[in-house]
Amino acid sequence: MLRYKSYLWIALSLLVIGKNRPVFAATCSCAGVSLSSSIQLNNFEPQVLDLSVHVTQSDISKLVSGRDTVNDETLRNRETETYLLQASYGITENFAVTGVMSWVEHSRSIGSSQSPSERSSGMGDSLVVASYSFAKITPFTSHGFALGLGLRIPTGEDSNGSPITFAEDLQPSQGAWGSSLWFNYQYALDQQASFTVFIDGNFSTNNSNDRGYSFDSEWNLSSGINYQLSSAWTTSVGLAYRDANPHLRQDVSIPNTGGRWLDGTISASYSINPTSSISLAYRIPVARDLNGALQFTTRDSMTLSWSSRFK
Amino acid sequence: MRFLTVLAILFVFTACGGGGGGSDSDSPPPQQATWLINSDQVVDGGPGKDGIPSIDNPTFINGDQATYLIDSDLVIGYLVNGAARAVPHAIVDWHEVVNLQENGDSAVLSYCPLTGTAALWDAPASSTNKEFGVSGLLYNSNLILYDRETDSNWSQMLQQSVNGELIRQTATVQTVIETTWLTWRTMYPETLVLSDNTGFSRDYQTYPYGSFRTDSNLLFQVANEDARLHPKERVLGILNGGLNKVYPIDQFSAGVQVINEAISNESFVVIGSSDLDIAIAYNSTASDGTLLQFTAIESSLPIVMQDNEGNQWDIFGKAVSGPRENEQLARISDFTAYWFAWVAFFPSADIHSF
Repeated sequence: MLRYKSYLWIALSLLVIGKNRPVFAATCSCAGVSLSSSIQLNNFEPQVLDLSVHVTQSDISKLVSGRDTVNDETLRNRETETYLLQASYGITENFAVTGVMSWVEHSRSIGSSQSPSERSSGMGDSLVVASYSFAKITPFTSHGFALGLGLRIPTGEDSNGSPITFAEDLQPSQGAWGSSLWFNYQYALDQQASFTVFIDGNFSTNNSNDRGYSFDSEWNLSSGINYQLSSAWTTSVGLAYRDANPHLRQDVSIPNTGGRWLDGTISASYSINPTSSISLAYRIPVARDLNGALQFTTRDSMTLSWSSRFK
Repeated sequence: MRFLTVLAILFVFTACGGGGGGSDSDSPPPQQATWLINSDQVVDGGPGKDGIPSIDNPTFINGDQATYLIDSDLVIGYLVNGAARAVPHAIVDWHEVVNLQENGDSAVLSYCPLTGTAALWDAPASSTNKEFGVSGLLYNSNLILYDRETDSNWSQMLQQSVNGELIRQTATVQTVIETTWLTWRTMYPETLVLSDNTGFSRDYQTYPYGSFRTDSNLLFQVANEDARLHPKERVLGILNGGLNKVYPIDQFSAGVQVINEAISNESFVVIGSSDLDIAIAYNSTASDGTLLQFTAIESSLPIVMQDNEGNQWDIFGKAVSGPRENEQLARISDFTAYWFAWVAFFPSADIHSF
């Protein structure tokens, strides 16, 4: 009996650790990283440190008008690489604190132009989230539910560009404070929790930076299924929906910003050992309805993650 | 093992970007760092250099083939050796710069949708590459062009290079008439018009900036604001000697109205019509130094006025009949703009009282 329970706990632990839902960068060409997708609220243990690194590459070269793809004759190449360092610590059985730091690199080139490409890099914004777990999946409980409250801190650089400062979408940081609300719900479809469904959501709002620019507010909702293929391998598929308000400059809505995105996500995780895992995730647009006449948006993004647990 | 893991994480982070942030490792040469204007007020508009593509191989079609235009659409009209050409706002709202080549002459027509300003410049004579592009930069919300020969930046409303090898060089400005497609076609029925088959995938029936043309909002900060008129009121602005004055186009009379002005030793004539949506001004001193007085002529477009000698003049300031036939009134510095843009560049403008 004890051995059976141990096996169950090991399996669940592997599932928890291996079920890295990796970070996805912004689906618009906006500053820094949409940190709102980076947090896992309910996968912690008391007095345990979870450390993870996520590297995301996003291709933001797709030209869209409303719901339609538009051919881009300027041959624009726009990419963002983000590096996130995330640390979560379970203070008690139910309460945890998570911190995220970021490093962002943007590049933009216009293929039809003779001009050189433009690049910016630097520290991005940081995030601190306090989360409370009302329920966790155990061999005896099939539901997990947690809420979180977050603070976005403008720790990064927001004035890159010389001699002329780049526009906000090429800055590593938004340069403004923000706040966010989070929830996470999980349901195990079998007693071994090899099959779980999840729903994540968050709402974030941002203030203006020193130039009077604000990314305003957005909410994100994602849902999917995790499946543990073996003791080492876990996969996840899902859909992620994002609704973002238009950006503001001096409280005036900026045309051709904001909109709604629906993306498909797929990931695979491999547990190296009981406390460490790596994962690879891919995100691709399914549908979108973007504000204004023309916007560049994400063509796809890929994230490589490494996670480890320290007791 | 745990220590090595943490060390590896820190290594990854510090290795990224060389441990410090920055932008575009190629710093500009020292001369390119000099601006004639306050560089702190030059902003990146967002699309990047050539992110708004210029039209470099424009195709012109007969006016009756331009089925994508309606009568009330605004166009920028100009003459090439007496032949009429029109470039619709609907197209240049998306491209801002059109590089023109006709009869061996090169010119650039620019339109800034954020300031409502159009300009036609001769290409610099010394250039081999006579094309201009959209720099992606803005000054007082106004387009900054760049020439592809020297990579110098040019302020459209200041009509001058403000940065780069050609800094301080002034543009050679040609006359344009901004008016409706109906008015332009009435004046010049044989006109050619820029085709909407530009080679770019743009919906020219859609205005790219939402409600900007009519609302009171500004998308970028400007150096000076003035609430005496609605920000998007279209005005004919005149800079002549020490004179800085605007004439709101919708305050002209419905028919052709002519205003003879003599202000601060400057004499000029202003022609406008609210119904025709047109306004332009010329020096009212003839080439021989004679000061002319003008009266309006209705219903004879493009002929709009007659002087006290009996000469009749067209909208481009050319005498089409009378003793001075074929004489040309000299240009003065005038162009149409949104009110907010005019006073951003030229504060404390006088407003004509109709």
